[in-house]
Amino acid sequence: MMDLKQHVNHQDLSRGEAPKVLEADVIVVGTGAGGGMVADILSQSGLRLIMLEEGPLKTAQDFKMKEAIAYPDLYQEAMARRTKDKAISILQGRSVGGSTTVNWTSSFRTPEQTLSYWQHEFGLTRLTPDSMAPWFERAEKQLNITPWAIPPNQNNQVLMDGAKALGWKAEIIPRNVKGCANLGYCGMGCPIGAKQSMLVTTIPAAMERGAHLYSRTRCERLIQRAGRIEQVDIRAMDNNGQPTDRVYRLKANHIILAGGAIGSPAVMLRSELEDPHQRIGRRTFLHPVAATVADMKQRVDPYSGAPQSVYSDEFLWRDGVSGKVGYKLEVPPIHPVLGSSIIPFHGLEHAKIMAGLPHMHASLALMRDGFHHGSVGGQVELDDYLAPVLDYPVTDYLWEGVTHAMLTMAELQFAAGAKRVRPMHMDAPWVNSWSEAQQQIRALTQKNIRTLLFSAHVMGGCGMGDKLENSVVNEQGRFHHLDNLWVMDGSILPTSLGVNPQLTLYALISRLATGFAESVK
Amino acid sequence: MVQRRELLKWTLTSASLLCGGVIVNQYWQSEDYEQLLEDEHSYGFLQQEDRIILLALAPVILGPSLLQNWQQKRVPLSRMTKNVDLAIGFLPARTQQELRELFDLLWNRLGKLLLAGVWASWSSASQNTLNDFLTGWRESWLPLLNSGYLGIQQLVMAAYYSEKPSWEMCGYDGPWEL
Repeated sequence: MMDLKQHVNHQDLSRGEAPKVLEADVIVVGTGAGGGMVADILSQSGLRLIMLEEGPLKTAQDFKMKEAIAYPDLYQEAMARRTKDKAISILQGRSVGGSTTVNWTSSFRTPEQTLSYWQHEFGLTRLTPDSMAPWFERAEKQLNITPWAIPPNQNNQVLMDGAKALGWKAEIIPRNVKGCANLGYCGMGCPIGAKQSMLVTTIPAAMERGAHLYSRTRCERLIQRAGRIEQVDIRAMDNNGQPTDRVYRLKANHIILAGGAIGSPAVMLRSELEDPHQRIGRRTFLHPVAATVADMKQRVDPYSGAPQSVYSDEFLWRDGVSGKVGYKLEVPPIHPVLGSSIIPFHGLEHAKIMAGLPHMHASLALMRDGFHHGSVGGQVELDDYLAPVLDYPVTDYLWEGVTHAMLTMAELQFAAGAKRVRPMHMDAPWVNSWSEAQQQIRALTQKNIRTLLFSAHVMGGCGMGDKLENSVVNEQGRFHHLDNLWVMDGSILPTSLGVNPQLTLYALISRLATGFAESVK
Repeated sequence: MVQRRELLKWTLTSASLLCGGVIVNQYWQSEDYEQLLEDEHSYGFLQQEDRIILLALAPVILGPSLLQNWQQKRVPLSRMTKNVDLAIGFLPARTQQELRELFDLLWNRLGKLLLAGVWASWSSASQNTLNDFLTGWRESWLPLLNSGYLGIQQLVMAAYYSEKPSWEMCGYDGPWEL
């Protein structure tokens, strides 16, 4: 099969050449879960497209299963992106396919509770479970999403064992793979093209239908005139992902932003669009993740096998939809560089913990943010270089969830047979029993930096809604204040989801893109 | 030639650690640093002062077993500074600026402060002094210093564990052969 990099409709602008095509019907900014679906559907309806991607185009033959190559190539800020106060580490993709190129393939439908909350709080009356069902089915079929049929790897089995021992719910995760070899390197790009990411499905399909792709190309600024976006300034990036001084101007009838929940608000802020209620970039959510590490008797090999195949929703709605923060339990893969970064010690202590990597299990609690007045999310801002930074204060409401989740995860790990457990916190050494863990975790001060927090799901910032005061786009995805500017990616979610976001975006954005295609016919 | 001399210093350093010596860098007087700093990599971000700081802190951050592993496999410690430099090249301008400020603080203000009271220079500080310094930042009530500690620690650790010869230290066999 021809390498997509050689496709006649692809140009890598870091190489110094100017873009060949400067005009299109639609410019799609971003090639992740949102942009990929938009490009697929619009190219089928005969629209001329230009797709822009800030990151590089890397394909299966570039995916070497090595952290040193994958993180700088495929992640925002070489996987070192953090919130403004550095409290939360953000894992977010940046290459063609966006985060779908590097995600761990977990595919869940949007919980009915979440859709119902949006209906009542944000007036999204069309997004009912019934009306969404065909769109979920469509995406599941298109991307081969089915529950993982192979036995879970040991890292996921620990979650299953612990939950079963305690009588908690635990289920098998549906994954978007075809011919998966159970390698364990989803986070570094699938080396055999088994993951049905946008990189191997919708993007090449759109290019075959004539869509142009400019990689290493940032959407700098939208130029507006008479109530419309008339032109788009783009900037070539270099091989290190840094902006160059080469800027070009494109033209299109419609602009669809799909740069992700930090990137899309950043384009709008750089363009100084009308925003009377100061909504752009607000209510950005992260599913903040707290974690505990266990030292298991058996080998876990947490770097081997499908990274996520078991989840537990036992605590997702623990206090109702809008009560105390609920959380989903999952596990992460742990490779050496990632593993070394989550051990907040140095010298001998660090080396001793790392030496135990083959027996290491980690549990994650993804907190469902955005459903309570104590959790209004973060704000995307521009720094001195006009690059985005997310100011996301971790509130007491969330810290309560962190403590609760650490207790839950330690209990689960000991129930699964852990020898020792350690919360991911700078002041938490190993403890040897569930009773010791309770004492330790109850006494821990949860605090920025000292508590290690993560995020792999950035959502919101250009929320959908029926009122100008509470949203940035309408239920069709159109910006409230301009006729030809649309947002179709994770940034339109009014809250977080309570599940890994990719399937929600595939379904929701397919629906919006289909509506868009009909409206411009 | 540089490599061999570097390796010699390296060996001596590790030997002193193995002998339980507290002064990690007693063999790394200023002239030895100059040899470690003769490096074929063309540095984009790290200045010579930054590399001296990293080379001084690395033995304390990594600890004796990790150091010994690279030394046995003849991986020069300059591989660490090179990897750190390459990694920083991918960070956005804002983060690079923060790191610039961090290294300048360590070299100038902190260097002088320490000169007055605790040690003579980065290149001749004892392991205990460097460890006390790191622990001080780690345990500080100031989130800024906590985050400075984690920043340096993570840069050095990532630079170490991204190299194949290091994987044995965490029982990792490496990726599949396809």
